[in-house]
Amino acid sequence: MATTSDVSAQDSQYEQAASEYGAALVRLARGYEADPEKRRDLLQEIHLALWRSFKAFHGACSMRTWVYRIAHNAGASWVARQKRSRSEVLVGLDELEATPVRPDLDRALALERLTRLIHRLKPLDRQVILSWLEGMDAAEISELTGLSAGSAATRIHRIKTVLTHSFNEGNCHAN
Amino acid sequence: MPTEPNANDLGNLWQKQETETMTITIDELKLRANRFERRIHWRNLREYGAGFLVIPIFALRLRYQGGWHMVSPLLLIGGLLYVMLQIYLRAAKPVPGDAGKTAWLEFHRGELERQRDALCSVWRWYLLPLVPGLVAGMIDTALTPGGIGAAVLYGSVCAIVFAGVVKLNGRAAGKLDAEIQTLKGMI
Repeated sequence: MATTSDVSAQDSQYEQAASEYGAALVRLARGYEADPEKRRDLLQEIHLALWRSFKAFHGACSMRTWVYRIAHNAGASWVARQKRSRSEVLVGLDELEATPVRPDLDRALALERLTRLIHRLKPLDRQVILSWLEGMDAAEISELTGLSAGSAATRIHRIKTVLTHSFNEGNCHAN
Repeated sequence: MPTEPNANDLGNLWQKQETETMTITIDELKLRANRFERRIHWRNLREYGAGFLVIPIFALRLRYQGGWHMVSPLLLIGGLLYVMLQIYLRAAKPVPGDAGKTAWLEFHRGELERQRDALCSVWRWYLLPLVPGLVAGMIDTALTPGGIGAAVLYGSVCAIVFAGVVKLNGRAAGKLDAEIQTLKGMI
């Protein structure tokens, strides 16, 4: 049975994580759900999973890794559940055609295209791209996803290629 | 030649996007956790609905039948209770509290393996427990005057339905297994 000190540790760890990674969790939820209403539900689910998870957090990995693992696992489970009610087919990075994203042109348009691209990806690739956009390197992504470091690096390279293959042709492809 | 992507630009673009703020207090989370548990509880009850509807019918038969006629409804009630228990034990759980201990590939593979194993063994935990009661019912029907034809029809329908269930689940398990193998290759 959880003692009072366990409960308060759980609460304070959650509060620390929520204040430190709250904005990142919102972005992460945006990467997993396009519909704003449903996104709110997903975000609540992530926070709930996170709060519950701190019962089992004993510092075996960094809090950052823990928070992202919980959040991505919740996000991927969410996508799997939603997939049953949606007709769209998720693809892997290898199947994704080059998508021009030029952050220097129109930020709102670039962000919209980037987000749309993320929503088309299968959970693992979505996790890799979201982590990369959050500034993680191959080693961190490997720890987060369970991919080998080499495999994570290859996927990051592929992401860069996909995002920028048409970098110079952005205007031509803009839709 | 394509320009090498500027990770900082894309990272900035992503990280500096406007985000809606959402504050949840610990008390709200606890409330939500309770609500969530209740929702799961009701969902499980709905899943057992068929069992809850059918069991009283068999129980009623017990009231009006005696001797060996009671064997079939008794076995079917036992079988249904066992199936309901299995559905409860195998039901999808919310993201487990210790999901942070495992990387996504391992977490997801575990989930898929759990689902695949449940589908592969559906004949053992979903169909087999009902077989004794159905066979007893078939024999019971066959022993009534002119009941052989009805018993054969009854047995045939059950066999066709069971074969269909096994085949569909086997196909779904095969798809999951292919996905599991792909995940294994990524580690």
